Amino acid sequence: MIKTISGWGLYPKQKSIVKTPINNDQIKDFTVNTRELILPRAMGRSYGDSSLSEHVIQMNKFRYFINFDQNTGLLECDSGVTIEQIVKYFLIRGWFLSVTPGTQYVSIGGAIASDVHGKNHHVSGSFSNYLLDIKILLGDGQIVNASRDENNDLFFATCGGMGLTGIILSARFYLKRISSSLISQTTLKAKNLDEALELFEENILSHYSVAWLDCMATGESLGRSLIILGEHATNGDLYEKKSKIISIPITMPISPINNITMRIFNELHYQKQFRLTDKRVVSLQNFFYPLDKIKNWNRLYGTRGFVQYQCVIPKFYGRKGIKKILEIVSNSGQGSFLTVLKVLGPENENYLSFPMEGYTLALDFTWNIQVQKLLDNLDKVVSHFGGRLYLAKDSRMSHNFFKEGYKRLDQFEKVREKYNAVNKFESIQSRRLKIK
Amino acid sequence: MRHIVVIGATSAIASACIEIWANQMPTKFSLIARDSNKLQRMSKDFIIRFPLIEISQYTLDFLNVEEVSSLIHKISKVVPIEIALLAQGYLPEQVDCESDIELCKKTININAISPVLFLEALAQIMENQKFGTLAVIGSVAGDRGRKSNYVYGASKALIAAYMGGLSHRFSKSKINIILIKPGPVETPMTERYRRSGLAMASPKKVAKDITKGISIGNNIIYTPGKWRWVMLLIVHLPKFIFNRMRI
Repeated sequence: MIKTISGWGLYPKQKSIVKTPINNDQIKDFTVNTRELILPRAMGRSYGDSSLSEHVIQMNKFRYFINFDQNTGLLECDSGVTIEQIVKYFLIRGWFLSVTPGTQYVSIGGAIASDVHGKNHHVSGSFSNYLLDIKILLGDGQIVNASRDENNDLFFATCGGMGLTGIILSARFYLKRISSSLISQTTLKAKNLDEALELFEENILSHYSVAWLDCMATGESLGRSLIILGEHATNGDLYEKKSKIISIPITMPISPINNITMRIFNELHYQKQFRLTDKRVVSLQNFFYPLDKIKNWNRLYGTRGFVQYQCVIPKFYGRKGIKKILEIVSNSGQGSFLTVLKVLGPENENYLSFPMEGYTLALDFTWNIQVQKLLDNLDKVVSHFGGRLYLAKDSRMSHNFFKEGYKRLDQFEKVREKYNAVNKFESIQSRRLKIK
Repeated sequence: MRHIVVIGATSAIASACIEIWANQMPTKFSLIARDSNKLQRMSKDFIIRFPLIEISQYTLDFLNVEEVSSLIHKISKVVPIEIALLAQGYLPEQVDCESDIELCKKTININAISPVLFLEALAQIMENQKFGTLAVIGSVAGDRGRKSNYVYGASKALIAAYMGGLSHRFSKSKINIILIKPGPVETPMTERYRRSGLAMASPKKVAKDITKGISIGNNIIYTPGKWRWVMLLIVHLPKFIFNRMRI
């Protein structure tokens, strides 16, 4: 079927031949018996062009749970299973994802391919840290296992490898025990960036932490933010009250998101909390997936779509780097509606995983020419301080900048060569970034 | 424990029904399908999601009289059957049927002959146990033969007449006979029509109507409900108008 597909940012768009296999034989057939370059895809929740290609293998029909061990929490499932499915069936039994991104609508295959991280990265690492092994179909149709013990080069390349090493069929990973569906949330008010980073460090032992940042603030209050800390509550039960979901039915012809609405929203959001510290108990859905309550919120950005810019700056230069970026953004007049800051823990062994010890900042911009220039400037800052961008959000970085940030690209390319992925798996992103 | 038998269990509509039933209460399912591999994967998935249900899996030749009847008897001996749902189905391209008589035969075998074999065996069992619900997925296509799919339609019309007869036979008993008539549903069976812009219901919505209709005991379930009125109209259209329509 020919379809126009795009990532979550609705920019860029790509006309694509989409094949939806229903069993392993079909995947094999679609992979081996074609001369086209293909790419596996499921929920399309990466923002930019990493899930786009002229030929995609849509994995939505692979949605079965395969095995679950009650004693250890080891879950085996198809790669098309979503985090939503896992929360739906396992929360009630006292199990939750060890690491979850900010939306439930990602597939396990996608979570592995982007090696997603969550609000607990500083203590728990990323998704692949809890991954035992994966079953993957290679470019020649062979199905192999990859883990830290078996084909470990393939494992380290596939986790965070953006679907460029093969098609992940299924995976085994550990869920974690929880005793309540509630989160004890503490919100701290920081009047500028220095204070925010100090608060992060003071609360480094807090299990979950993230900061919402007012990127419209300048001068003395540059980087003023609300730091949100969370711990799994010990009281309460495992039932999850269904929250109302509203939906944006169409892409807005004129986006309601502009500098004025953004300024108002940011001001109100910052000022709505009077006290310096606010403690409350919130539901797990509200804490981890607040944006899932607005279905298709990406449509608010209008037909041009938006880009999310997520970078990480190594801890050593973190304060300087983040400050510089915020200054450039607030001087540019281009506001970011939602700006998120978080501390990341140490880098793992995967060749293309994003996280490294430092601070990560994520900004959203409605797509236009000025934004392009602004982001090119930000790239220079990130590069200057030795940082890099998250491939799952990227749709525009240059291949030089990519190479500088991802130092183990050589190893990744060797694995692609060794496991027959070259001239088989490709995305619009990998072509742009000249990944061999 | 409630015992539900599902034939053609791997179909999208059947598996959506199983999900709803599994969510209601602990249930013993006897699932029968042709594709043993898919049945196995699906069963395991259900057991993981709903730890309090039980599933027995069976694969057999759907047209073998002996095998069908002995399997149904075997299944009913363990626990009486409360509900039996028949969901096997095959939708050919009508044009292909017109040149390929084998395809006509296959269509009628899967959609009509096979259900009859199962239904007769199940009817006997329910007559003996004096209760139960027999439900079959027919189709709106069985209401009036149309040039776009009359082989498929005819196979479903046979089921309709057959269920009418069963319903008559059991009218004075506690056995419910239910014919389900879905409109087009978004399943792998209809995948090739999706591009034509035909409005299709989701298997989830159809399964909701089916399980609800079964629990109430409606004899005929149109799903989505609007098809009752659409078909009423189509069935009563005078021939000179009907013949001009491209449906």
